[in-house]
This record gives sequence, C-alpha cells and structure tokens, in this order.
Amino acid sequence: MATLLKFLVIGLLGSLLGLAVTYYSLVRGASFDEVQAGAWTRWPKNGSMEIDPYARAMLARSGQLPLGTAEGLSFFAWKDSAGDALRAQCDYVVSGPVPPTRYWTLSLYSPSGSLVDNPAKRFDFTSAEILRAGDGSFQIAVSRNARPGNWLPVGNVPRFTLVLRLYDTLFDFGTAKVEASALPKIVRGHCQ
Amino acid sequence: MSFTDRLLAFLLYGIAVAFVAGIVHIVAILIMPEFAPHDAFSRLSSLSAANQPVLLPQALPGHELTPFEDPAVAQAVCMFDLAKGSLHVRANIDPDHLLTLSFRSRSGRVFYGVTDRAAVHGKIDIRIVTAAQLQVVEAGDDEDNPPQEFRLVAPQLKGFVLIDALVARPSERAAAEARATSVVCAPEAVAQN
Repeated sequence: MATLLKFLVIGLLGSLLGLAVTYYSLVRGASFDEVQAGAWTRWPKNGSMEIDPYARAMLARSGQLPLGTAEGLSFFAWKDSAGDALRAQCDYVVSGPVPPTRYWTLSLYSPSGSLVDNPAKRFDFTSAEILRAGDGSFQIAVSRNARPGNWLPVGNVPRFTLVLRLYDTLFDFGTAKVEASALPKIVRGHCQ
Repeated sequence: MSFTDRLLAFLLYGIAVAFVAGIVHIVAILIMPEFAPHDAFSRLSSLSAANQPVLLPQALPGHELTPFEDPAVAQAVCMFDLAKGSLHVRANIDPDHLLTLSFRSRSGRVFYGVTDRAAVHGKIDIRIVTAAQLQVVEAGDDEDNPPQEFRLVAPQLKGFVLIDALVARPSERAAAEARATSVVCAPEAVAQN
C-alpha cells in the first residue's frame, strides 16, 4: 500500500512539474532556430517540414499561420535597432534596404498579434503603395501622431510589434542568415 | 536509517519525479499540435465547404482569425481529408499579381508551397494524395500521355491549402479576393482496395 502511494505521489509530482516546464517553455518562447538580425527576429524553419517540436507547439497554442518557405520570409521586431523595446509613446522611423523581393509588407500589431485600431485605418504598408524618394529609398514614420509621408499609426497600445514580410524573394534564402545590414533600421526619435 | 540512507532515498525520489516530468513534458510538446483547441486548423475547419475555397474574413482589429495575420493579403482556404480521396487543386494564374499556395498538415507543418511564378503555361495543377493513393493513380497513368498534374504526397490525412493573394493597394482588395477564390479545390475519389 505504501509503495503504491509512493508511486502515485511521484507520478503526480512528475506530471505537475512536466506540465509546468511545458507551459513555461511555450510562454517564454524557447525555440531552436531563432535567428537575430539587428532589430529583427526570424524563425527560418517555421514555414517548412523541418519546424522543431517547440515551435510547432507554440504555433498550435497561438493559432498563428507562419508564411511557407516558398511563399516568403517574415521578420518580427519587438525592439528598435538600439535594442530598446518598441513603445507607443515614442516616434520611430523605419528606413533602409530591403532584400530583393517581388513585394514586401510592413505591418503593426500588439505584442500578442492583433491589429491595433486607429482613426486612419492604416495597419500596414506594401512596397507597391509606399511613397519613395527620387532614389527609390523610403521612410516609414511609426508614431501615435499624424506624420507627413508614410505614416504607420500606433494606436492605443503601450507596446507594439512590427512584422516585415518579404513575398516571393528573388533569392532563395532558405535557412541562410540574412545580415542585419540588409534589413531596414528602426530608429527611435522623440518620446513623450 | 542513517543520514546518508535518507539522502540517497530522497535523491532517488527526486530522480524518479524528474524522469516522469521529462516524459510528460516531451509528450505534451509532441501531442500539442494534434490537440490544441485553438490552433489554426481548428479555427479554419469551422469554415469548410466542398469544391471551392472559402474566403477568410478580412483582417481588421478585433476580427482576426489568427494572430499576426497580414492585413495586406486576401486569404482563402481549402480543407482536405484524404481519407475520402485525393484533392485536386487548380489555379489559372495572372502573372502580374502575387498569388501563393501553401499546403499544410493537420499538425501545423507546411509541406509544400508555390507562388504564381511556378505556374506552367499559366496554370497550377497539383493533386494532393497519400502514398497509397499515389500508387493507385500512377498505375492508371497512360505512358504515352503523361499527366499534367503534379502529385504531392501529404504527410497526414488531414490538412488544408492556404491561398494568399496580395492586396498591393487597398483598392485592389476585391480583385485579390476574387483571385484567391478562383482557385479550384476538387476532391477526387481514388479507387482503393
């Protein structure tokens, strides 16, 4: 009887500990193939058969649909190029090179991935609609307050996330590393 | 019982608990994609329809189907269950507009993807089959007249095809939605013994 009780206690404690570790690892976002490039984070295998079990469990939990590798690449930013968290009370400018691709889109989300309502009803920019300088370069102002040119409004959230998606890239990046210098910079301006 | 004996016994219990915890953790991570109640497959499977893709609602604040949806894309989805036969996916391609197809399994793996640039003579023609169905279908092929379709073996019986059409400018949304839903998803029975 005592032995059975011991087995039960071990099984119960072990199960609780195992589930706690599982929960913690999914909330913390542990994944084996996270690649950083400047402000941007990418999970190269999430859109392929080689996706690791942790990433798959995380996506199953969130319900997110990652871009397939053949469709394009996505890069997530929670921080600016200086490494500070993206905060709604600050102004940011996104500018710089984008890897050669047929189209790209830049979208703004709350950290949990929902779109943020704003009076301008502007949630993203695509490479086709963006205003460019004479040399083809562009600047996107990310701010709560209206800005001239390409203005991506932040809306009423304390923190936000930017996602850059490259559709139908002209190079096959595969799981290769994309250098930080090949991606746009997120530079913080004035903070309220 | 000496102190060392107690310590050893305690250690042994600790190891046993850690062992159980390890197994529970690994099993939980591995079965999560099949049983998660709010994964993408579960969210999409309520929208099923036969023979034609279902347009997903436009991503707007408070009306997103999945997190981190690209608002600049019109999406449609075809659910499939190969237990009932293969799924034939056909699309006529307009080369000026970006259209991508991704083939995803029940457990969240993207097992294949194409963009409109992969079209042959303006058409994409893909048949999703199981390994057993592939043998049956290939046995029925006419050798002098090779099939035009590309046959794709799915890693699982259930899954879905996600169709993305880029909305390059907001005024193009209706056209992009029409392109996404113009893809034909036709279940086809395969004679099996």
